[in-house]
Amino acid sequence: MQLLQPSDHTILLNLGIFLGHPNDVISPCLLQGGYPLEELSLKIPTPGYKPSSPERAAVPDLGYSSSENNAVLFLEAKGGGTDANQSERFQYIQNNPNTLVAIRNNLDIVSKNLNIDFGLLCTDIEKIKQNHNQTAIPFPVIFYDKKNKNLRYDDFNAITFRNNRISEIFSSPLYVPRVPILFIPFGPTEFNENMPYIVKNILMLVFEASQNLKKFDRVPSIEELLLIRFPMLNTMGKEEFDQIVTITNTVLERLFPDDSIASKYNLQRYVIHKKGKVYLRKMTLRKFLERLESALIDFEYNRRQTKQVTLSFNFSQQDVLPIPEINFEKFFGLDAIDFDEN
Amino acid sequence: MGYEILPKITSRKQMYSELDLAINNISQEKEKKEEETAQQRKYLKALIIESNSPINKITPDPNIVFLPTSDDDIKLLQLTRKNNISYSYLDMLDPRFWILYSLDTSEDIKREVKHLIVKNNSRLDYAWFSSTMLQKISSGYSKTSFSMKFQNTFENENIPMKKLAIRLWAEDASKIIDNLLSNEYIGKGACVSNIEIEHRSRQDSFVKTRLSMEGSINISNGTSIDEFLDYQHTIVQGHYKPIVEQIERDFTTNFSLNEGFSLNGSLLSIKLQQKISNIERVVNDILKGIHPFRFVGFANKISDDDYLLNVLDLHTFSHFDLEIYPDEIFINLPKGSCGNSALRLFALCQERIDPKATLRGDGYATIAA
Repeated sequence: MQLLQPSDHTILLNLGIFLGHPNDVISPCLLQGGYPLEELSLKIPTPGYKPSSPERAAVPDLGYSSSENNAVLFLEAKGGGTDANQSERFQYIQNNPNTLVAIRNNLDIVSKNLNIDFGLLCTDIEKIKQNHNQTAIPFPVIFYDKKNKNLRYDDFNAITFRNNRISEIFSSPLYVPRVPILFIPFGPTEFNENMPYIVKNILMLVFEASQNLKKFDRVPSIEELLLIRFPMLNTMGKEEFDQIVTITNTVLERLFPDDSIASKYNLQRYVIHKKGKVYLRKMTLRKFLERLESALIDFEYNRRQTKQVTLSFNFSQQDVLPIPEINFEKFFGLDAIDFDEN
Repeated sequence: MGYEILPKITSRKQMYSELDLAINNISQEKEKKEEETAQQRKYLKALIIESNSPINKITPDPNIVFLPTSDDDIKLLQLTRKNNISYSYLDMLDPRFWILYSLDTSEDIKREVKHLIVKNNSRLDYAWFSSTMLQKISSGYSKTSFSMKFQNTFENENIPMKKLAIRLWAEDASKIIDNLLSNEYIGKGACVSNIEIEHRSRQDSFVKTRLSMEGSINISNGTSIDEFLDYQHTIVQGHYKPIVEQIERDFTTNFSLNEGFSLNGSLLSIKLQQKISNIERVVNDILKGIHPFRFVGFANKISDDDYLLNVLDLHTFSHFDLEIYPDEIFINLPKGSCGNSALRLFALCQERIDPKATLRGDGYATIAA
């Protein structure tokens, strides 16, 4: 069984969803205050912001809107410090609502008198305050205090929401008994800490997809499967995303070898049902998954070692790329059941 | 002269007529053999099977053959055992919820149905009637008999008993059930596993049926098949199916992609009144990949009180996530998942973890499951 420590960013994303989505885990105070959650990771291009700098979109994590007030609230989840450049872009949008009106979104807004609020949702208020000493944080800060199980507005920078309604919503601490991470099981920052966990999730998607296909159909590409089920990964760095895909493809190619490109990753070819049990590659499915998990954890350990070694020899980022192999000999060489697949 | 097995039929009309005879015959036989124990009697059985697959995709054991009739949605299930052949009627009028009628012994037909469901990649499942659903369905009826069965499979220390099994007959057992459910000690293990009721849509006709947790209905007395069809329609089309559809419509999640993405649907949660004392045991056992849970997958330990499970449901090979806390189990079913899987988990939670568990939707809805 893998020990999993979801990142603070992932926890905050889920918390933000609960605030604006019907549930009975955490009081959905934003939903009840007229601000349902409408958008996640909305890409807002800011062409007018510093025209000389390369074009990049601002991507606030959570977007809520109140059609009654023609008002929008964006919350940015911060596990650690803040990013001055990002803050400036958010301020630009706040002062230029047309940037938001110009793009497709679900925020239910009209172009006139649009009121835009930004806020930070954080787990480490001390880090945010430290950051405040160096760079002013121009937005109100909502602090999730895990230890005391509450969510509260912190007025250390004396900035309140433009829309009083939102300030009222956060005027008293909100009890947060727990934050299930089911809505967003891992965020774009998770890869470095929880790689085996992410790869396991992807393999589940492949199992599922392959079982609904005809014998020689092709399972959709890993990229496609990933972005449909975990669209938040779209905001992940390209290099990390590519690494996830490469690792998963490597694992799948070795576990389910197949000369035919057309049938790649169709696990049906390796699945048999006998005596009420499901077997995959001559192992019970349970055994297979246990072994796979163990191999991925070993693999992750080796990957980190490799990374440390290569970094210590001052390799460039490009050179750090070689990916250590899963120990497939160990995977298949143990007590696999002698079972006739035919 | 009574029926020992159901005869061959060629059409729906003939099926109803034979079932009508069988019900009447049971009633006559019952009068003759009052001294016989309930186990010895051959009741007419109707087993509800939830299907995610057309019949031609199913590969039954060699001793089972599906024979055609003139109606596409009726098949004859020919079962051969020790050179004896018997027939049961498979009614697929509702392609999602099939009804298998049989006069074979309970033990025989249930074994075969279990093989059909569990032993191959059939995409079939039982219909799972939780204790609360059985109580709800039977409310308003006089209950002539009921069973309670609780197995503290995971050795939850917060439940004071290892197991509980009760079978009781009465002219009307409603108050006895209520008393047991509210009893301070027995109530903690009081999980209703079947309830017998008398259904009457008209003054002069009736049917006496016992509905069990796994969706099998025993017909022990009655006057006509019409009464039974009326009852069956009430529980399957009027109760069970709408809940499955509600789960699949409102309590499955997906993301719609735009410039950003938006979340649709809500989580399901199973709220427990008695906390689980040993979550790790629960996690390991439900992922064994065998009947009755039929789940396999990965468990991830977030803390002693928080486990995240990536689950593969062997019913449809769909993938979903569970997060288990001592007092609550959250379910995130992706859009397109089978709602029956959630009902299976819930019914089994009531039978093995906490009979007082409730299935909840999005904070506003306790699902009538």
